[in-house]
Amino acid sequence: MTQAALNFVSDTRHSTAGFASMPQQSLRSADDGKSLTRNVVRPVVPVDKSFEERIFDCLVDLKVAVANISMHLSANERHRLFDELDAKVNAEDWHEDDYLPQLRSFQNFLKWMIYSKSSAWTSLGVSGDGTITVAWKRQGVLLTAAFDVAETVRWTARVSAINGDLGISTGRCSLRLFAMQAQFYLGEVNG
Amino acid sequence: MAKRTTLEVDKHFLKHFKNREIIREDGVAVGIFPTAFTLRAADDRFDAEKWLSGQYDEYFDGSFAERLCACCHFIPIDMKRKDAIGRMNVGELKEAGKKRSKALRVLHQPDADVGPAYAGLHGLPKAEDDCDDELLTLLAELAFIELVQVEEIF
Repeated sequence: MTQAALNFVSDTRHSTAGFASMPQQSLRSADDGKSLTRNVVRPVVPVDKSFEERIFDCLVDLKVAVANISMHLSANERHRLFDELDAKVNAEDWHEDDYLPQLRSFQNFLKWMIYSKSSAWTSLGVSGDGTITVAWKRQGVLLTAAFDVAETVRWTARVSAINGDLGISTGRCSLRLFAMQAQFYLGEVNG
Repeated sequence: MAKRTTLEVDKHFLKHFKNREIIREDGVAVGIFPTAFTLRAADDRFDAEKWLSGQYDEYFDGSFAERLCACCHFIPIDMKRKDAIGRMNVGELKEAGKKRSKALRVLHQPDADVGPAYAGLHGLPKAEDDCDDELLTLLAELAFIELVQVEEIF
């Protein structure tokens, strides 16, 4: 996504927030330096945002976080993240009283993806306090992790054998160490 | 407060799971995130959770589908299409607790505010206690055995 496109996304967010005035602002495209003139809504008198606006703003923040590391992701990986965020963070399925996903927590998951060079996650989720949770499912293995804002990961691994034996391991470690833990359970690095 | 009754091991506890707590692969539920069993800490909006809320499956008569539908009417939140209900055997919940030296029990605690089938899973670590991710993983495993999507109930 170009910087101009990101600016537009950011400005679209403000336009939903219901502010009192609409001053005109000139934007400069990072790609070609040409001036783009557009009606842009800027906050002057903030009003309480509706549930739909809060969800939309949160989703945009999460997608911008993905866009910010897009040089590390293939187009397919980026779209997969966007689709998953759309499926989880939307006004139809989200409960209004719940905490929204914490941006810092999501950024830490993205950092981990870069460290581990792995994008083969199965599912994303959000815990009650807004922490991002991630699951990886493989034959006989279910690995889950909660990425907190302090760059530590709480993880669980459930391993089942063909004979029905079940093993559960859990741990708490840094992002970098979890890259090694995940490799142990998933048996691969590059997704 | 109405009398609380401990549910026997052959009874079942129903717990509502939000879409964000469900592990999905290509849109199909394949598990529950263990964090779904974490008790909420106190904050400026809510008191700390002392137990996990749910419903007593066998309180209502009828087939499982009919009982599930009846219980859902008393779950005090607006259930969403992609949410799900997990049905857990009380004896298996207690066994899972024993593996982690926790005395889990399910109490039927009906109340005018929360409905006649309201039940609570007691004995989980509180938010201020050390977390027990192994216990939460065992419970998530149990909850997934009989998981019904809300869109299939109504």
